[in-house]
Amino acid sequence: MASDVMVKTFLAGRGYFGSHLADLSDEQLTTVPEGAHNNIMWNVGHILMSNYGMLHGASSVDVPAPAEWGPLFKGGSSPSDWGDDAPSASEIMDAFNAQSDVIIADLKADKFGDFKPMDLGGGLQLNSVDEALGFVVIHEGVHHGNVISLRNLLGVGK
Amino acid sequence: MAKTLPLAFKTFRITRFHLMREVDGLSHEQLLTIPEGREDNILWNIGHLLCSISRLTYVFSGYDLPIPERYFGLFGKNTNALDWESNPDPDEVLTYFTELPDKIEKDFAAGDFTEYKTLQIVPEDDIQNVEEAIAFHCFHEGLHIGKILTLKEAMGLPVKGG
Repeated sequence: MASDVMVKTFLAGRGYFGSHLADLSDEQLTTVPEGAHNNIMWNVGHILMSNYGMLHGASSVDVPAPAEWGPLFKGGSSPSDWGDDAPSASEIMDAFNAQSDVIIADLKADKFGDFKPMDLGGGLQLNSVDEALGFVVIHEGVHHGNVISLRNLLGVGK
Repeated sequence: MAKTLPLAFKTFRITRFHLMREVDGLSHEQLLTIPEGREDNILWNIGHLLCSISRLTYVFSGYDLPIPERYFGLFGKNTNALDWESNPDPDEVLTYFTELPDKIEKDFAAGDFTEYKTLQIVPEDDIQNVEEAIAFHCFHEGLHIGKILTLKEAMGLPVKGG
């Protein structure tokens, strides 16, 4: 089993992130406020796909999400580039809400034995799936921070 | 023998690498600018994280604060940069900020932080030891990297990204 400390931190962060998502309507999830590049749904989809990439993808395990979602949410992409076949907000939210259980189950089942080390720049490397989960925690925090800023721009408040 | 550092310490180093590459090279003016519609600036986010990690490590392990007490009136919970009567010295804040992780690692390796006062963070969770505190702080630091990125975007500054 993975680092208990990082699993606990991941779940605590998820709980807090979820509290900033659960009260939003589909319209609030999909609106790009003036002055912003993305909407809240993009941040959620980006975290969803990036987490699976950092854990499953890096360990050569099948990613449990539709492959066509990858390009829609990759770094630098934006909802303004999406066509009519983009997933709905509820599809993304359902996949996101199910993700922590999937990750914990796959960690428990020891699915990530073939984790391929990843270079982060600055002399830093992720050498194990535990270290990758640490990165997931930081990265979720970053996009959670973006979501809080987007909520303020939408006038949703804290 | 010195203790080896648990995973959370490496995650903390990775967090700082990502934060500092957004902050290094910014002028005092850029660190202190409060864009329209915001109540924080980049320096507030840095000072806030400095207060938080000082409390989570030293104070909750029963040690003295490793930073000036007055920082809590400037950067603590429920403060904002709009209320500052005069600007804090960015160099002083950044020096404490960049030196503290090394001090924490050194003190941990020397066996400090063994007594930890449990801290309730959200209704359903708590922090039981310093490793959990640092892991939680990495998440918290990520959140403020997100806020720094949106501040930089609002100021038209280039970002490295999350």
